[in-house]
Amino acid sequence: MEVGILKRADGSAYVEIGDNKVIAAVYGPRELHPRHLQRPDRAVVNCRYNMAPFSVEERKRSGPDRRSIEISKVTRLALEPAIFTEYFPRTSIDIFIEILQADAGTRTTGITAASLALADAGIPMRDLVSACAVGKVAGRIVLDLTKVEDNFGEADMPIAIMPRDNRITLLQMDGTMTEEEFKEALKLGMEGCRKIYKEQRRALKEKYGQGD
Amino acid sequence: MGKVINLVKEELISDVRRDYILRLLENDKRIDGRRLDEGRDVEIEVGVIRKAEGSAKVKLGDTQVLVGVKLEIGEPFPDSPNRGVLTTSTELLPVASPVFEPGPPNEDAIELARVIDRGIRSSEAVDLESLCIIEGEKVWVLFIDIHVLDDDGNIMDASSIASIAALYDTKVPKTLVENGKVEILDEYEPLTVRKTPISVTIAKVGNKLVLDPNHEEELVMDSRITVTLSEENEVCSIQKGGSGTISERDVLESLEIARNRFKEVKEAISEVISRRGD
Amino acid sequence: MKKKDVVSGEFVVPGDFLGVIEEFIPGEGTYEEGGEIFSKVAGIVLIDMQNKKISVYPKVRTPITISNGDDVIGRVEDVRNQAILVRIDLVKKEGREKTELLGIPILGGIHISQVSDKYINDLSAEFQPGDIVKAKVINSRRNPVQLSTVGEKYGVIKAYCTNCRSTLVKRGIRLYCRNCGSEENRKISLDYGKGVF
Repeated sequence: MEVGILKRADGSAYVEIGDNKVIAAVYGPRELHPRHLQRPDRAVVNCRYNMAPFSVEERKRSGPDRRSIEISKVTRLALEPAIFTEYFPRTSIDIFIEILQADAGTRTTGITAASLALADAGIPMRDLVSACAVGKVAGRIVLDLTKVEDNFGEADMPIAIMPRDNRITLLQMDGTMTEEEFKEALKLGMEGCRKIYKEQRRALKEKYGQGD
Repeated sequence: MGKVINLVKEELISDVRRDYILRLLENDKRIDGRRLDEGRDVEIEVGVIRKAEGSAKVKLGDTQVLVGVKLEIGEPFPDSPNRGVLTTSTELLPVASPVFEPGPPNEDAIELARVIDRGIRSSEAVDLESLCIIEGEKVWVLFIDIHVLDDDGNIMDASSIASIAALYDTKVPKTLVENGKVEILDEYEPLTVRKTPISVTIAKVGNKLVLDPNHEEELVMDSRITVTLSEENEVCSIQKGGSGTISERDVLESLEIARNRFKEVKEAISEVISRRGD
Repeated sequence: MKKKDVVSGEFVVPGDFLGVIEEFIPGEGTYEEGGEIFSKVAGIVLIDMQNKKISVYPKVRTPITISNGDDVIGRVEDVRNQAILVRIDLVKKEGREKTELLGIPILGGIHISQVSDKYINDLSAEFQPGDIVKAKVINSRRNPVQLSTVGEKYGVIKAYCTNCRSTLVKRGIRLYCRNCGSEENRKISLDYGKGVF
């Protein structure tokens, strides 16, 4: 993980987890047009998740599809609780996530990167947001599925939390698990998020915690 | 998302900044301390995206571009049944600049892709015939996808360098044809690249020509000329840009500047490619 | 999360526990929730023992705001009888080296009494819509923000001919249009036409 990798963006981060390579950038708070989209009491958070055509085995046509629109939405909702949007009325905070190479778990890698980019942009936040995915492969609950595991796995569950008080900001599941397995997965997932959180802290410290 | 406003702001900066840049240029000085005919440092990395058949990331000063090359089996064009197909697209990602917006490619993105495409095509850098699998039926379609990550000026040249470096990095899967059916093998051979087309962009600011303009210089430039060379004395594409005009002398002078820059950049590419071969 | 004591100079990230309100007053870069104080930016902890105040000095670039004493640059939007309105886009904060772009432009006003130390009768002889001016913030709490161009450093740094919109050049104490030959008056800054912020 690395923060502040782009010159033009207000905040940016690069995160590599497994074979996932993701760039996130933040612009804002900036003036929002058209006016009718503005909120008098807070900033509007926009988010776009986008996959590079060359990020997957089979070339993906560029532009949004139903999957990336949904991911953009859940990503925005996963990050918004951490942002003090009320400090910046009538503005927008725009988050862009670019998946340069995809394995499994791009959305959680994207959230992790975007949270770093927000912190890098100096946007006041209640906490960082850390995310990871747990899954079930051959009856076992495992952390960080790879693409192969995902394709043959029985369940996939992305989670994002605000580590300070373990509040969950994203939780999705696809597949089947027993209640027992789900409980185990949730516990393992939150542990995974805390590992990610340590890495995020380290990346910020590396960039800003040195010297003077 | 706020495009108009961002443009207004950039306009104000360029309005004020223009006077300053012009004053420096009168004494042959540039805002970042370079000589007029000096390009920024080029950093090239190849093989950065494992899922692509070829890839390269280029840093030109603070400008960053990532290019991925993908191959897919498709049909040839009827008028060239024994040649593979080459397509080039550009995305000016919204991460790269406050004025880039998400959405389908705009005219700037399309112009950029077409200039790069012309350079590769007219120099015949890629041996398209080597991409034929079954004449008239099955050929490799080569997708060059240009991803602009950070726009600190002259994304054209950064894209051109990244594109040709990614082509040098490209591996083509071997195929086995049996009864008209194509089987893709798990063996690869390098794509045949015969030339190194490199674009060199020169901006005209006031009455001075500056090589490899940065973002601030682009904001105030009157016009721009991009010369693509494939050999020291072989021009394979030219594009004049910007709303101002250029003189015949400017063009000839630009060619001279471009030739020197071409040598420099070509050396950088060769070095990266040969290092990879080790 | 374990709640351990922080010390001055320690690097913290958003969400880091800093102390409790019985112990400290939450300062800049912090927020309070349920009696506890946390950091809201990545930066360095500062503990003011005398005032029992804990704050976080941001190490990241933060969204810019303007305060009294800052130099600002903007474009004249409107020239009225008693004041002109300026759309402020750039700020040079006191003590900071670089001029920074405001994420959200702020509207500023220059009252006729704050234009120069001379008596001014007609504001349109000093400013025209579209001119770019450099001014000093004298009251950032008002809306529009109150600005002043008193002093030779402040005033118009770029202006356009009211006839033909060409850029005007400085000639003596007046401005001259190379295109149509007309002469115009402005409250000119020392930095006129230099393109410096």
